[in-house]
Amino acid sequence: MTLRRSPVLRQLKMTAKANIPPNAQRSSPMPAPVHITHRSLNTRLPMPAGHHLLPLLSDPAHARQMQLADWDSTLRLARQARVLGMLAHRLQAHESRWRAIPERVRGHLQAAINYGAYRAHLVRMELRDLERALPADLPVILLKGAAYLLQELPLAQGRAPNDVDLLVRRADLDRAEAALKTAGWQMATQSAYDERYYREWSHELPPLRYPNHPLEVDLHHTIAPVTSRTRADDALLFADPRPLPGSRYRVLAPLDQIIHAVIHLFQDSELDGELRGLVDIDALLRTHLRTDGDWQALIERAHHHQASHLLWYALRYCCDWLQTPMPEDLTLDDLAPPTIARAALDWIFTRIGPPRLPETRPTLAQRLATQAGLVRYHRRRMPPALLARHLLHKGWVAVTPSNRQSAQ
Amino acid sequence: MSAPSLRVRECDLGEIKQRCRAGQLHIDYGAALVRVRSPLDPFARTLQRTYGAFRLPHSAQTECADYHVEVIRPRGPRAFIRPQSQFRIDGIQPFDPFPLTNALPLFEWGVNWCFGQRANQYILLHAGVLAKGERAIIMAAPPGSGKSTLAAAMMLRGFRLLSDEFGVLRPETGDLVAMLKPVALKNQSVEVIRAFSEEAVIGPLFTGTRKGDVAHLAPDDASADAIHHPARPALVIFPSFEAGAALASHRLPGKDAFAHLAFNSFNYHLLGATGFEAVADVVAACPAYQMRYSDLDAAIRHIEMLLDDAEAVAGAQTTEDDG
Amino acid sequence: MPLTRRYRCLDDDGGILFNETTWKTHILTASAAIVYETLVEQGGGDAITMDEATQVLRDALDLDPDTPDIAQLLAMLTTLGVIRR
Repeated sequence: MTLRRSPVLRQLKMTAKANIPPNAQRSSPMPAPVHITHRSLNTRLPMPAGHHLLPLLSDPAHARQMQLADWDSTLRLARQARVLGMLAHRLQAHESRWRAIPERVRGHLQAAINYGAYRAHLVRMELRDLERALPADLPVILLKGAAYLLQELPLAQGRAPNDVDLLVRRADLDRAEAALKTAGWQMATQSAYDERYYREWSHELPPLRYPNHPLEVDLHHTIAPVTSRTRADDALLFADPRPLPGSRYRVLAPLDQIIHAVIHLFQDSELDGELRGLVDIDALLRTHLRTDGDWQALIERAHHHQASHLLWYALRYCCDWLQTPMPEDLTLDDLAPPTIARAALDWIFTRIGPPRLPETRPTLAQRLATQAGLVRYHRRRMPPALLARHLLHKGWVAVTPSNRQSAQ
Repeated sequence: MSAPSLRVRECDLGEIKQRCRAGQLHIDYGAALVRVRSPLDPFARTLQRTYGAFRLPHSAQTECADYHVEVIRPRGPRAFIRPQSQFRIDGIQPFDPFPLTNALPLFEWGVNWCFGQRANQYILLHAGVLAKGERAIIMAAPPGSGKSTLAAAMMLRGFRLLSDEFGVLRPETGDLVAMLKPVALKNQSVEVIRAFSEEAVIGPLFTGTRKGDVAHLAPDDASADAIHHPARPALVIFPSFEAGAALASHRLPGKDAFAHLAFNSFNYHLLGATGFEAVADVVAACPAYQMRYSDLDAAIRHIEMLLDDAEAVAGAQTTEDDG
Repeated sequence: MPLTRRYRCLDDDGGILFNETTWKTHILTASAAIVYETLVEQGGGDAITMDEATQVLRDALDLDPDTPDIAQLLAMLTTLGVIRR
């Protein structure tokens, strides 16, 4: 159980002046950034990730304070959270720091770096094949892992993507799908219900895979389910894509990339074991935002995409757990969700977001939080009537497997 | 340096059982340190026999283990009808349960699985590795070619065993690292090795496993004491056992040796240029031979000869370079 | 541009080639290795045209570029960027 003050009582002060000890200001490319040290927030960090994993992700220099025994659980937690490769790259970037890490630990880190490079290679190969299959005049935007990789963001290093996410305009969706199918990509067989659910209510098609290819391709036409509460503004997304030098692909504008990562984590995931989503956001914030003006623009962008509450959560956890530098006088009051919603999300995310050691059984609170995360996920994605129908159908299929056949 | 710790066979069986139950038994294979938890006392007994030569690692080393594994009895009603054992790493169960009596083969395969999945800081050749001093022989062959039997026999004739299954190549140095495990002898190999040497310490025979009948040859003291000494690749052998055949070997072109080593490796495909360079270095440094054999002692004498030849050639090259 | 391929000559036994774009490894027979080394030398670091390549094969190596084996090798060397598309 984590030791923290009641989330309901605690008002997040993004104007984090009170938390800054003297000399916490370090040199940085950001004008007037705020750095918050570990000490000031330690009591709030969820355990066991808060012992070393979160401090390491906040600042790799933390490695200097770690003993061999500390690495034992830290490596396992990082692997559990799928951030070992990213962490490894950050640690390797600094030669003397890297040398100071025990050899046994460096073995795991190097293995994760190698594995991440392999997955990145798979993504590049899939994109190369997709490039041949997709009509040249059809605009295709890369999302998430593939986008980070082709932009060569620091975030992409060591991050092992599971699939390739493409975004096309809704009007182009049928043409893109037909082109991929003609070229040999196939949709995994689905029940008629699943297929209809994807096509009518989701923001992507059922995953496509070329036979024997290791990665799946997700074809999106927007970045959030069409039924969900937070719907990004498609017109805005497609109005401002950025070209990638030497590539037929484009990526979302930097601010939209951040908003997408935020929506993906806080609406489009079940929150369970999703620390990596937060690490993504932290890295995007650190990479894409350089001036106070950028931060203001991000907040405005979130309003446009109706994602201000979600952004508030993201910034708040980034600040608390990963010490993302933020401008000193940034005010987020008009982003803030209602207190009760905030308390609920806090209760869920602090319990199930960070990784757990595999042999520790989840506590009752953690199991409840997992359920709550699931319910929240569905509720955010679907209006109540549709949700009821969806769950009823799923429940029905689960108890009567023969129904699945008849549904096909 | 602190004094060498006790060998597993020198420990009281009660202590081994106790450590197993508490999840405090650490096994150092050289390339990996594994922390084992198991409440199964018979399993602890077979461990003590097959890992007898291994030294218990000092407590300073065990603060951080590479893999945390469990061999347990699954729960549920089925467990009463047919008792089973289950292998887990970090909560993952990579295989279906085995019969309870076959916990040791399950554990051995489990550790191989963990290592093969995760140790991507190394190039993992599918090969046995033995050494004379610093000079290592890589023995690569598909299953069924008698690679394990020959590796076992070589150890019993005084070669140092580094590994029976994994040729663990460290790309930074080009060295081979030990991944010392009991040698899994299959079917008739068990009796062949028992007859081959009186010194062979062989664990219980497990019948009807996935790979037929299996028994494990315990590594010897010299191999166990050298797990942290890497060796240099000196010779590559592709052995094939053929009953009654006369001993024959022929030199294999480097590109063919490369293809065999690389394309049968566990993770060559995953390592890109690193794997390419490392395997190319091995092939450039070592002569490779295909060897057909039926008699183990004759095969071992032949390998010793090839190793000496390889050294003579390597020595001559060095002299030329110096001149 | 980073290196796009790595090549190791294995004495008289042929050679091995690694394509850094596709991560594919190619095993070259002794004669294929000679062709490869000759064409790379001809290009002096740059890709050469197919016409240049067939010319070199005929003149320097006395090989017929139209045999299936050689045509296949040339196609492979094209994907590897030794010969310009």
